[in-house]
Amino acid sequence: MEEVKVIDLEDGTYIISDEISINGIRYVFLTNEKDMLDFCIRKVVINNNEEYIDYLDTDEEFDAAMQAFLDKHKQELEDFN
Amino acid sequence: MNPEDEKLTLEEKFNRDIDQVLNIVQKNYEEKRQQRMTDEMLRMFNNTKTKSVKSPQRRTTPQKYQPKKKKVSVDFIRGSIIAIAASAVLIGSIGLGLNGMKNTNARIDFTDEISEHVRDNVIYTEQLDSSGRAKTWYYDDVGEIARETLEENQNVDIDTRIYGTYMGLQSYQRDEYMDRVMRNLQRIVEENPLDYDEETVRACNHTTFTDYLADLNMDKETYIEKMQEIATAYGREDFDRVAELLEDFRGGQR
Repeated sequence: MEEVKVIDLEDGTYIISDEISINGIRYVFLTNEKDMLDFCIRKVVINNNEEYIDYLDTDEEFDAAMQAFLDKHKQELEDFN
Repeated sequence: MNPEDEKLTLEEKFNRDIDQVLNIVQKNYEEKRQQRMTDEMLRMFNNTKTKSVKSPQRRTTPQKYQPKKKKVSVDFIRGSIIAIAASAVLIGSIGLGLNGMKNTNARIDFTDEISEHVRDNVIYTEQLDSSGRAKTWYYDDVGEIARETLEENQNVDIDTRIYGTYMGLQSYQRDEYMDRVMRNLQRIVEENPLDYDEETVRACNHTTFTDYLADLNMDKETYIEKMQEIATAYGREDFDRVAELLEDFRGGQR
C-alpha cells in the first residue's frame, strides 16, 4: 500500500494520479478509486490565494493535457507492454 | 477476353472468383468489427471528456482543492497511470481511424455517384444451367454508357469520370467491357471533336483501356491507387488536392 492524495468529486472519491504543468497551468489527473478506467482531468485555478479545481475549457485543452500525460508516462506504458 | 484469363481452366477461374468474393466478405466483416470496437472506445473516451470539459448543462463552480491522504495499493496506482496513458494513445489512434473512415466513406459515396450511369445500364437475368438457377447479367448498351460518361457529371474531370465508369462495371470481365467503352468514347468524340475540350479529346483517344493506362504510364494497380486518392479528395470537396493529384493525369504523358 502507498499513501496518495485523493479528492472528493460529485460522483465519488478520486485518486490524484498525477499533476502536470502546461504553460503555467497545473492539470490534475484523477482516477476513480473504485474503477481505474474511470478518470477525468481538472485544472488548478487560484483565486484570492486559494486553490480551486475547475473543468477544462475546451476539447483542445483536454487533448493537450492527455498528450502531456502520455509524453511523461510513455516509458511506463512501453514497459507495461 | 483478358489474355491472362485464357490461360486459366474453368476450375481456376471459379477458384479465383470465389477468392474474390471471400476477400470482400472478410473485408466487410473486419470493417464492421473494427467499427464496433471503435464505437465502444469512443463511448468510453467521450465519457472521460464529458467529465473533464466544461458543459453548459452542468454547474461549473470550481471547488476548493483540498486533497486528503489515503492508502491505495501500488498496483492500482500503477494501473491508473497505464490506463490514462493508454487512453491517450487510443484517443490519438481513434482520431486517425475516424479520419480514415471519413475518407473511405467520402471515396465510396463519390465513386458511387460517378458510376451510377453504369449500374443503370446493367440488365440482370436469370437462367437455369446444370447446377441450378444462376443469376447472370449483361450491359444493354455499352455505347450509352460511353455517352453518359461524357455527358454526366461534367463538373468532374474526364479522367475521373472514366474511372467512375471503370469501377461501375461488374468486376467479372470489367477490362473487356472497359475496352468496349473506350472504343465508344473514341468514336463519339471523333464524330464531333469540337464539342469537347482538349483534355476530353486526349483522354478518349484510345481503342482499349490498356492503351489508355499505357498513355498515362501507369499499371492498373497504380492507376486505381491514384484514382482512389482523387475520388477521396473529390468526396471531401478538397479541390486543391484534386488539382494536385490530377497533375499525373493531365501531365505530359499524352
